[in-house]
Amino acid sequence: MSYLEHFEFAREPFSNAPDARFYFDSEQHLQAQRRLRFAVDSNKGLAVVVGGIGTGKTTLARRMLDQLGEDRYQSSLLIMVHSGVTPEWLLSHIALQMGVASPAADRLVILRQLYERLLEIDAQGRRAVILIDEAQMLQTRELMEEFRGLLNLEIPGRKLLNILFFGLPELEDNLRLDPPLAQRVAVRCQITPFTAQNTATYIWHRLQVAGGRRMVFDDDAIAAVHQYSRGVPRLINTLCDNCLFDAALLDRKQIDEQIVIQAAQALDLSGDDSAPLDDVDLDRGLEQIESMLDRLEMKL
Amino acid sequence: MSNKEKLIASAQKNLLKGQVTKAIKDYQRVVELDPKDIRNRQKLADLFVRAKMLKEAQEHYEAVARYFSENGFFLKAIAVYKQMQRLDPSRIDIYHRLAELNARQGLVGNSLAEYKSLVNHYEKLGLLPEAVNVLQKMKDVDPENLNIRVKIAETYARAGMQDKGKAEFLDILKALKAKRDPAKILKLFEIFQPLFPEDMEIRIGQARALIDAGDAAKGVDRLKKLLVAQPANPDLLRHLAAGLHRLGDFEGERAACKNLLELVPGDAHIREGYLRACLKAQNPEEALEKLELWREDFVAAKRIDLLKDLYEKLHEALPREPRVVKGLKSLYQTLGEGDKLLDIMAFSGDASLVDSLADEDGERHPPLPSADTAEFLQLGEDSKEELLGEEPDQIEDLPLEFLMDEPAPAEPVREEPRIREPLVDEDLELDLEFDGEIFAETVPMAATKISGEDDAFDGDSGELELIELPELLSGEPAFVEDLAESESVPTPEEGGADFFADELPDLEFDLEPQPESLSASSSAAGGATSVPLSEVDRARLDGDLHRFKKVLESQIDEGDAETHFNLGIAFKEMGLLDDAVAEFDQAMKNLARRLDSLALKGICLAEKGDLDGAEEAFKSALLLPDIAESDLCNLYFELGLLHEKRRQAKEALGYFERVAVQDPSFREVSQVIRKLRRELGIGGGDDKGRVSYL
Repeated sequence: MSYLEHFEFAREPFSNAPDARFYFDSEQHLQAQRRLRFAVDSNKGLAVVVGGIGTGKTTLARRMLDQLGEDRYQSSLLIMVHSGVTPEWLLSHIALQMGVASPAADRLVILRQLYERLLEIDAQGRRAVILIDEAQMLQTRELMEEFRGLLNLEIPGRKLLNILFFGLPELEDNLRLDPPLAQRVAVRCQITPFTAQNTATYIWHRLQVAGGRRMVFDDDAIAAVHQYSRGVPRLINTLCDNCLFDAALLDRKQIDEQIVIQAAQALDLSGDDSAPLDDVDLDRGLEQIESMLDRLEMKL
Repeated sequence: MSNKEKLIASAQKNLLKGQVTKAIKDYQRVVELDPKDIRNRQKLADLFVRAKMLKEAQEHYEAVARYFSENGFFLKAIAVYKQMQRLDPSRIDIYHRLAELNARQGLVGNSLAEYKSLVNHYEKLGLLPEAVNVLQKMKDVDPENLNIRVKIAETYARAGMQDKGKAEFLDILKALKAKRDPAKILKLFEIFQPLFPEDMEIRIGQARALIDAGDAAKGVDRLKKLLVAQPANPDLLRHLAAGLHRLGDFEGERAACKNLLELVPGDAHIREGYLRACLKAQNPEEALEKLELWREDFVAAKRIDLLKDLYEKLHEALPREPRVVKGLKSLYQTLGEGDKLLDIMAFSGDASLVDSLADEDGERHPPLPSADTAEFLQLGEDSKEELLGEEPDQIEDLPLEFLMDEPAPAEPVREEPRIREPLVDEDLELDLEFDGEIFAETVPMAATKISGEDDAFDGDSGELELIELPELLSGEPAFVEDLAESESVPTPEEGGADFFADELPDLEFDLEPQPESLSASSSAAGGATSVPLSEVDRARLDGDLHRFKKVLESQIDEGDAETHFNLGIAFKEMGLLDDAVAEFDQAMKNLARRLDSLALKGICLAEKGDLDGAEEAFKSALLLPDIAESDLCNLYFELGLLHEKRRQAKEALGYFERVAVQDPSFREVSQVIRKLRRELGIGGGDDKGRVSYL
C-alpha cells in the first residue's frame, strides 16, 4: 500500500521532483527574490546567488523566471550541464534566447544582432534578463570575459541586459577569473541550509501542500531530520520521504525520532557526527553532502 | 502489510483496471474484517452504486448514515441519507430521517422541505391522519409558520375532523387579524369556505373579509343573500352595515342598524353606528330623537366625548335646534371647554352670559355647571366628579363678581363658525370611529388603511411574516423518479419565484391531488395552484421579496451559516451538487461565509455544467470587499478554468495571467499559461522556449 493512503495525502509531500506547488518561501529565499528583482528592475546588470548543494538555488531560479512575466521581461533560464561550453556557443545561445531569430556564425555579428534585439526589447519597455543555473560550470576566463562583454551592451543611462548567476560557492572563484567582472556584481545572495526552525516549518509546509491535515512528525523526529539532513532541503525531502514510507510499513500514523534514525541509517546519512552544517568546514561539508547524494542516487 | 491493507491495495488496483466487481469483493472483505470501518464501508456503498447494485448500496449507506447519526455527525449523516434518497426517492423512512436530522441541526427550511414531501405523499395516498401527524411535526419545527397551520387545519377538515379543522382555522384567523392583513384573511376564507360549505360563521366571515379586503360590493351582495336565509342574524346585519357604510350607502347602513337594534336594542356600539348613519344619510332629526333618548345611557357608559361629537355634528346639521344647543352647552360646561361654551351661547344669542364670562384680562372662564346642566346630564355625584375631575373645586373658588366685571371679547365668537366648518377629512374620522367601535371584534384596521378600497390591499406587510420559508415554497420534488429534480433543494431565489406565483396563504402546498403517484414532481403541481398576478401585485410582491430577503439576511447568524456551509461541503463531497448549491446559498447570507460560499457554489455549478451560473457566482465573489490575495487568485483561476471549458482560451489566459501577477506559483498557473500561450500561438509562453540547457 502506498503511504499516500496511509497518511491520507493527495500527493507525495517530499518528492524531489520540481513542483511549483511545493515552493517554500523561507525568509532567506524571500530576501533573495526581492534583491534579485531589485537588481533586474533597476538594471543593475549582474547578480549572483551562491549556495551549497540542495539548498534550493534551482528552485529559486525557476521561481524568478516565473515571476518575470513576458509582458515586462524578455527572460530566459540557461542551465549549464557541462563545463566545455565555448564563448561562441554561449553567445549564440543567449542571442537565440533573447529572440534573435538566426544568430550568425560570426561572433561580432552575433553581438551586433543581440545589441539590436536588446534595443528592440528596451524600446518595448521591457527588460532583458538571462538567468544561468549551475553557473559554477563556467570555469574559463574567456567565458567570464564574454559575460563582461555582454554587460557592456548598454545605452546611455542604463544597461540592456541583466545576468543572474546561480551556482555553488566555487562560482565566486570563476568570477574572480575576470576581476573586472567580479567588480560588476551588483547584488550577491547566499543561500544557506535551513535552521532547525526552518526545517520544521518546511516539513509542515510540504505536508500541507500534499493534503496532510496534521503534523505526522513529532518534535524529536523533526529535530532528528534536521540533524541528519543538516538543514539541506533536498536531504530533508529524501529523509522525510523514507520516514513516511517506513511508518506506513509499520502501520504507524506518527513518525518518531526512532523512525527517523533508522531511515537515516538506511540512507547512510548518519555520517560521523551530528553537528549542524554551519559549524563544520564548508568544503568538507559540501563533499559530505555530495557523496551522500551520490550514494542516494545510486540506491534509488 | 495487514490483510486489510492488502485488500484495500488490491481494490485500488482493481479499480485502476476498471474492475469494479472485483474491487467490491475486496471492500466487502475489508468490511467483514472490520465492520466498524465506516470510511471503507462508504467506499463499498459507492462502488455498489457504480455497479448499479442499488439495494446493496442502500444497505451499506444505511449503516454509515446510522453510525454518523449516532455519533453526532449529523451533517455527514444528512449527506449520506440525501444520497440514499437520490438513489431511491420512494423510501419514506429516509424523508423522516432527513427531516429529523435537519431539524436537530437547526436547518429548519430543509427539515420542512422533507416533511412537506411526506405530506404530499401521504395526501396522494389518501392517508390523511399520517399527513396530519407529519404536519404536526412541521408545526413543532416551526411553530410560527402559519402556512403549516393552514395545512393542518385543511387536512383535518378533509379528513372529516371538522371540529378540529375549524378550531385550527379560527386560531389562524385570530393570528391573521392580529397581523392586520385583510388580503390574507380573505385568502384564508377562500381556502376554508369550500371545506365548510354550510358553516354560516365562515360564510359570513368570508363576506366580511371581502369587505375588509376592498371588495365591499361583493361582500355586501353575499351578506344580503345570506340575510334571506337568516334575517335575524345579528352578525349578518352588523357586517352588512359595515359593508354598506364602506359602499357609501348610508341609508342602507341606517336601515341595517335599525334592524340590528331591534335584535340587540341596548348595544352602545350599534346605537352609535345608527346615529352616525342617520347623520350621514342626511337624517339629523332621527339622529337627534334617538340621541336624546339614549343620552343617559351614553353618559352612564362614560361616552361623553362621543356625545360631544354627535351633538356637534347635529349642530352643524341643525344649527338652531334648541335641544342641540342645550346639549352642547351642558357638555361644554361639564368638560370645562369655556371657549366653546361661549361660542355656542353667542351663536344662540345668549350675549349676557357671554359678557359675564370675561374677566378683566379678557380671559374667559368656564361657568359653574348650572342646575340645568345637572338636570340634563342627570349625573350622580360620583359620575360628576369623575367627569369633571378637579375642575369643580377650582371653579367654585372663582369670584363670580370678578367674572362679571369685564366685557367678553367678541372676536373669538365671530371666529367660531369658521373654526367649526367641517374639516375635509371629517368623514374619514367618522368612518374610522365607526369601524373601530362597532366592529372592534373583527379586524382592527389602522386608520390610513380604511380610506379606500385599494388601501385594504396595501396592508400586506403580514404577508412576509406569513411566508417564512422560501425553501418550502419551491417544493422539493417528493418521491420523484427524476433524480436530478428530486435531489434539488430550492435556492432562496427559486423559493422567491414560487412565492410570487401563489397568493394564497397556503402557498406551497398542493391542494389538488397529483395525477402522478410517487413519481410526481410536487414543485410542478405547486405551480399549478398559483393565481396569476397583476402587474401591481407583482410589483408589490417584488418589493416584499426584497424586504423578505433583507430580513432573512439580517437573521441568519454565524452559527447557521457555518452549519449550511458545512452541509454544503458534505453534499459536494457526496456529489449532490444541487443540494450543495442550495446550502451555499444559505450560508452566503452571512457575510463571514459569503466569499467561500460563492466560490464553492461556482465550483459546483461548473461541475454541473452551468458555466454561466458559475461565472456569475465567481464574479459576485470578486465584487466583495477586502478580498485576500489568495482568494483573488483562487477566483481568477476558477474563472480561467471556466473559460477554458468554454474553449475561450484568450479569456482564460487573461484570468490566469492575473493570477500569475499575484502569485506565479499558484496552482501551477505558470504551466497553464504556457500551455495556453502555446495553443494561442503567443510567443514565449513555453518553458521549453525560455529554459535551455548548455
